[in-house]
Amino acid sequence: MPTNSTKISPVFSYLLGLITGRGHLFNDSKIVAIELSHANEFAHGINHCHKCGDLATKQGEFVICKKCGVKVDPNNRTSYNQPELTRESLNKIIVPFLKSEIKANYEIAGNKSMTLLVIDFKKDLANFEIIKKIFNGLSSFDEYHIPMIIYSSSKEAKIEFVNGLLDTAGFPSSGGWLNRQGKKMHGRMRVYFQIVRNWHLPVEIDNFLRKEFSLPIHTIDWGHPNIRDANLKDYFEQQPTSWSREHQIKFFPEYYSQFKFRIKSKQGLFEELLDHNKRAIFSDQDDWFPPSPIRLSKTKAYHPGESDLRIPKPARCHFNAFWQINAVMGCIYLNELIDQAKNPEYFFLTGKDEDGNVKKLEKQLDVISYTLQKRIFKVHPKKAVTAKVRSFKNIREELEKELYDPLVNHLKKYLSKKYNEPAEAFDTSANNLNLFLKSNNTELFNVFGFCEKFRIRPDVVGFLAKSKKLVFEEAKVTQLDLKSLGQLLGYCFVAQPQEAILISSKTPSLALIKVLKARPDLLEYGLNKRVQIGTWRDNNLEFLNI
Amino acid sequence: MEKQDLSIKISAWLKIFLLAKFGKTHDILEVLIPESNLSKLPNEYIKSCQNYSVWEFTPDVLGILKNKKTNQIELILANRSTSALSLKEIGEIYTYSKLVNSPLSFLISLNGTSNEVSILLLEDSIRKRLLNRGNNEIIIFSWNEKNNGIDYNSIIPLNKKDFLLS
Repeated sequence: MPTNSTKISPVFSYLLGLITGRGHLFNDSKIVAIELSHANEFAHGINHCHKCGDLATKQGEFVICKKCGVKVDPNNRTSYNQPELTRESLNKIIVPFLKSEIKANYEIAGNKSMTLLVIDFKKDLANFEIIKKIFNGLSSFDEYHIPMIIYSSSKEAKIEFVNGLLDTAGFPSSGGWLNRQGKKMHGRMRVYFQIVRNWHLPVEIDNFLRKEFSLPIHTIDWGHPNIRDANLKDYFEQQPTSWSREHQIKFFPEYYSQFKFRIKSKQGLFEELLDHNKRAIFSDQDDWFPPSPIRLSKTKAYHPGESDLRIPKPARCHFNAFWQINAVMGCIYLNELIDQAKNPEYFFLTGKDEDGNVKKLEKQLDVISYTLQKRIFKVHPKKAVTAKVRSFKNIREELEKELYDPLVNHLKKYLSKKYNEPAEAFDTSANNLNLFLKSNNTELFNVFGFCEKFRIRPDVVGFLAKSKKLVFEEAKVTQLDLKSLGQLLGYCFVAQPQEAILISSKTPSLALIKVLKARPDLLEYGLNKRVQIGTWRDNNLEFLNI
Repeated sequence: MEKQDLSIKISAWLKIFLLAKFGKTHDILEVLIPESNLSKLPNEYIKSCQNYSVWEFTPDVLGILKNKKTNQIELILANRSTSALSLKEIGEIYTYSKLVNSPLSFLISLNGTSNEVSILLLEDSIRKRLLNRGNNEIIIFSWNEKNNGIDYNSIIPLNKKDFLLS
């Protein structure tokens, strides 16, 4: 543990790396939980040709050598059981390492796609408070910055911080190779940091690795519509916001051998990728910095997602290259370069250190982006309609969705009248409540900051901003039953709303009425708090007296 | 694994578990996979319970115990899912469990809890509200298909690991 503000041990620094990558702090429970995700059970190593040793990749049904073209046995590669190796690494390596200094209680939990390291600090409150302070009291990794204390720590501690980041957010992948020809082999393998919903961390990590270790980064693949869905393909194919999933900071393993993964499956893959690149021999660093000029032909179409509220303000606009986002998100190196350019504005638009007419260029780029968008929309409108229809899982869901708008309007009026204060109501069915607020109404999120931990999805939510109270509505088009009551109760036990109303366009079944008359306590979710049952009829809500 | 196969496996496990954990204090009367709402089940033990006529739900697996001391019938509920569990399933078992005053209920899945729910349940206050009613408890775990048993790492609440596996 840190003894003063500038000293930090490698073990503690490693823990901070884990937390920065995928940590959650639970203030009430005095728990730190670290997510170690493994979306697939197995991660596979590289397929090399048995004949010439070059890279072999999947082409149609077969795995074919890039050099000599022979068919390669697809099983001629290492497979890593990620959940098993993650747990084993936690038990045998990571927990003993952390325990050597941090005397908390360690538990391992999780499911098929994620293992959780739960560190209980109830008997070590002082250290929990230190960690909380370091992360400014914030609760989850999607908000964290690189802790200031790391910048003033020893080299060893800085290395351990990166190791912690690698174990949580680092992903070596044999499929993420770059199409480059090395002196001896094809394909340049890459590792990436996967940063979820956190927009400041990618540039912070890039700049930290540059400043402290002089390391190159190949690219930052931003979760921005212009970068991830530049041709609007996903937009028209059922996943209009697929661009928002994550950011990836990609790097070549050969420059990063001073670091290590403690998760065995990741370290095994990392060593494979490192070995491949060393044998292939690449002379170019392929660092994104300084940035490459943007050719006019690379101008991107306007994307409707550019104004999405999930994107922070500086990046909530149109970009033609990923490095422009690096600049607006605060990259020190790039902004220094831009400031020193002959014409900084022109440099930002082109990546060229030349003087030029910025207004004229902006107009030219605008015409290209607009024309491209128009062209794409012209080709796709039919597809878009089909996708929309297909995306409804079934008619029942579609009918339920039709209820949301009238319920939103009704709830707004009902709350204003009942509580005599301004009320807002929204259809929140498409997103978790915390994400809904962040993405759609930042003003409201500032008032209802406590919703940050509510990863729940009620159909309609009412907000009483003055009294900071929530009201939930769950809508059904079928007769209400105990199952639907249970669903709403689940949300209520999490968020303790002021009111919760279970609504159907059909009258409740006699069976449900009978149960609730006999056991009205089934509706309770808190002190003096009960779910109310309502029927939506003729654009009005009729409450059932229990 | 098909849902029905999972129910059969859970039913077999529950029999052994109940004998081991409740054998001294209770008679283990039956472990069954109900085919209808409990209110309509032709089962003499259920029919001897108060208010059984409003038990309009069907748990996936049901254990029926008789408390040797009080002679009261006690029900152990187990719901199963082949996909990751959400708050919906937790709220559902909570409601059933409260209705029949079950001292212990299980929610079992081949995929454990969803990532979001796993994180939510680490918060003491939220977990207690969802999984505890006085002395009555709900325990969640993953069914490990390979080992044909409980996945030790998946047990929620974490402090129930020893209770389940000892």
